Amino acid sequence: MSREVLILTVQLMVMTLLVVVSMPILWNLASTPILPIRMVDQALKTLVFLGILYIYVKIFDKMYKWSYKMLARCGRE
Amino acid sequence: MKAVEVIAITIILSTIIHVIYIHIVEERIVARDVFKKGVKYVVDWGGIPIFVSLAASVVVAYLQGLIDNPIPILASLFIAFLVGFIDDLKPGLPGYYKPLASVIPVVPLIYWGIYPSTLRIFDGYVFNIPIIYPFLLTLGFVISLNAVNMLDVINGSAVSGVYIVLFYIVLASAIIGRLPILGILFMAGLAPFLVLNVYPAKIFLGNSGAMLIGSLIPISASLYRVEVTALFAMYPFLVNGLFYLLRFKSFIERRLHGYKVAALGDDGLIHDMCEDGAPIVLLKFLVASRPKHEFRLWIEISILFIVSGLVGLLFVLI
Repeated sequence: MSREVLILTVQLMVMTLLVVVSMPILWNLASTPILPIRMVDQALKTLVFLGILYIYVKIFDKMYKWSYKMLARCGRE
Repeated sequence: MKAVEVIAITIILSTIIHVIYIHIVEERIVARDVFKKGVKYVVDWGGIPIFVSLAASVVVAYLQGLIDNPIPILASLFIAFLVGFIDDLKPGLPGYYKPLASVIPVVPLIYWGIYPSTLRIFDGYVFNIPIIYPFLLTLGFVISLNAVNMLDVINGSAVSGVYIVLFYIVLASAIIGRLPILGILFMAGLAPFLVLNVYPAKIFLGNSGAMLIGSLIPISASLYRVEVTALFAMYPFLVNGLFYLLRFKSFIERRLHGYKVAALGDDGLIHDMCEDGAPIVLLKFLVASRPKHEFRLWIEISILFIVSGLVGLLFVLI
């Protein structure tokens, strides 16, 4: 396995861990009604989930770009 | 026994269709293989034989009583193929065409109600989302079709990726007690193309093929309710697509963004072009530290898919 594949695998593990750890919080949020109208309630929760997803993507983005900079030969030769 | 016969028929039929297609269009419908020394042309628009093979296998399975209603699946596959085929015929279409058009293949599934109302992540967490599920499924189609298309960069990368994801979908379905006959048929129908597309490729997917095989993932994952496993198994597709999305705020093709991400060197290896502003796509990341051979890159991408699928399997095992 090359260094690049190994780094990408580690990043996948980190993201998986984040999902697993946040699952009980997401589950509690999803199973507790907040607003009386079901459709509005689901829409609001979807927005919250999308916000969380956005944070995950940003974390991954930072990890990926940082590791590319560490690996890349560009500008070093 | 009937299922085994249908799978065998699918493989034989698909092999014959692919061989006939290559024989007919050879030197007529071709595209340049950019990561080969010299000028090498390969048969293109592989979506045509793949669609004919998959459609034939679904019809045979229906006639043998293995699946109930083939219409929604066939319609969805045909639309996905058509979306890519139009792009093959008219390469100058605007950048928003494919992301927008890749919404259409989900319509038959939603119209015929071929989707669940719950999303199952681990055994204890079942989200009841009847209203949101169709939207998530639509999003799944847009992401899958375009992400597969964008990873079709080296011989075999997109097809082997889809094949491995389908394998994990089938495995996860079997683990939770479902017989994934359609998933197995998709794998059987795709097998001859996979053999012909890996290094050195004898046939290319084209947009028609990429969009078509991209649709196999959301169709199978939602049908067998293993969406999260499929999502994790798709990790290399997502990484690649994500960095186009973050850089250009859209799923945009190389010919439209104009940056040269990687190129073939005089040594026959693929090099990072180190162009400022270029998106850090998967291929660029993999050749970041040193140039690599196309075949080695295919192996590395396949390993990444295998590892990602194993992580995805955790979501049905726990």
